[in-house]
Amino acid sequence: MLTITNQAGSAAPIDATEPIASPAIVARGLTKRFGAVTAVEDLSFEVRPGLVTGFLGPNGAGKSTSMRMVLGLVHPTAGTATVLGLPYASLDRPATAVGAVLEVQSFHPLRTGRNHLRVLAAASGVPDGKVDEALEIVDLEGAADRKAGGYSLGMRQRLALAAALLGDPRVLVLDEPANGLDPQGIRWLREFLRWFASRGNAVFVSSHLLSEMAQMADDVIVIDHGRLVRQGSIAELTGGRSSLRVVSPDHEGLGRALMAAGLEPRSDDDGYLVADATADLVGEISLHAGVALSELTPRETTLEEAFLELTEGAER
Amino acid sequence: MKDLIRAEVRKLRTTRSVWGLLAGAVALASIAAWGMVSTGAFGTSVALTTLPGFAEMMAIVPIFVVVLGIRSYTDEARHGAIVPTLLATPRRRRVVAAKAVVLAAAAVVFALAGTVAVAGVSLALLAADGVAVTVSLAALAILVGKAVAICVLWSAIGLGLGLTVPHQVAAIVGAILWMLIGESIVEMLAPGVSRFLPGHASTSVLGILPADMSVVAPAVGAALLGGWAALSLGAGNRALARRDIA
Repeated sequence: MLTITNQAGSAAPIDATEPIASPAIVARGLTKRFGAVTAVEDLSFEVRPGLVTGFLGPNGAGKSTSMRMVLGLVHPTAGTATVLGLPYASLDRPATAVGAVLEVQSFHPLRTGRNHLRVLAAASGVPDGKVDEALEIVDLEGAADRKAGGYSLGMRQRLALAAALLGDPRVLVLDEPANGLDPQGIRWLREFLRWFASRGNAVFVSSHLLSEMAQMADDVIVIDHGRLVRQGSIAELTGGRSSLRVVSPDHEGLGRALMAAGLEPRSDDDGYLVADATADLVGEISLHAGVALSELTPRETTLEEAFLELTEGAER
Repeated sequence: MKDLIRAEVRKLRTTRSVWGLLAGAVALASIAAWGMVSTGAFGTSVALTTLPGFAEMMAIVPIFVVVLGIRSYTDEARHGAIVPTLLATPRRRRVVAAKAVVLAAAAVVFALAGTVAVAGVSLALLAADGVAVTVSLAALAILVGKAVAICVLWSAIGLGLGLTVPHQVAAIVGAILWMLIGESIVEMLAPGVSRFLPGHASTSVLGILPADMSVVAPAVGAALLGGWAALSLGAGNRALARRDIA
């Protein structure tokens, strides 16, 4: 069982007093082609410190490739990315600046979890004591001396997170970190990332699950088919997009009246969803059309709907 | 660089199959020494360093060293461990350099272990047969030096090969086949060319056979083997530098 008290209670290994460069991550015109396939096209975005920035897109949208370009693992066909003001490869001791979780399996299966971290501690130039600290943060001490190949998916994720935390980084880059975590694990991760960001650090976390992102992120970068669809705060993404649910016994009549008034009603079960219209307006329209209403409810657009709307828009 | 070397040493020490490779090399070298001594006729006295087991050993142990070298990168690529490795050290040449240094050290261990195994088995069998063995320290030092040099250079060839051909099974099977029969086939098809190939260069270093169509002088052999090692490492460095870790 994971508990937030582990890391909050430990002797705060991350020095949050010094502000880091802002934006922490900058991508400019990132493009990647694999042969004839364009995985990412002219993608620009920024990740600011003090926030959790969600990287949202359907599977195959180019999230992983983009993150790997930021981290110097994939060479961009065009464009640049910097972390804390420098290309990743120019960072001095990058593990002390950036921690990353990219793949569930990133260890030799016959090596124990502890030995995996000891290898990385040496390569990162951090003292071995950090291994125990990181194991404690992710609550993996009990399994540290077992072969990592026998770990559950959730344990592998936690081992990967421990590896990312070894150097006390100020920026975290996580690719679908919630995969394989149980509900408590996801909740712990969410709280950990929020705590981490609240100390002036930057978090860049990808997901294809909107519900997860809605609870975790402050800022969201939405991509689809390798292109930026939108960058903004969660509120901006959903705000200004209130919609109404309207139901009438005369379903067709209501639809005709709304369209005649220039609105774009979308079917929603037995009624319609109408975007960007006030209840007053819809009430008036139905009165003039002589259509009785049985329901008129304002609805907040969920992130899910905003996302669908945005990505559909990008496809058109 | 010290940190990186420490990391590579830890990788080697925490991979059990490395010990398996060492045990395999020692076992095969011992069997070869046993076969050579039990089928040979040595009279009443023989010089240790002229025992044929050493030549056999220096054909066998490099195969294990090459496999170790190939696995240094391909194991990491296969299991995804290359991702945290390159995140910690994005300057990829430094990763290759650290691997080369640590593999060279491991190759020294393999060479010494093989030499000790052959000497031990041979001495025991010859003593049982009542054959006196004379030891020249100078000749022994030269023999050990050659074994070490050959194994170190092969470790670099293996590393470069693994970096260039990241498909582990293909690289290992290809390398073993090449070392066991590939060069012999070339020798049959194109005599005179084969002596410049790494396996023949390696044999040349031993200086057992006179330089002719099949071997070159020991110093030339060493230079050739060094050239192959440099070529392999260079190709590996280039391949890794360009590779997308996607």
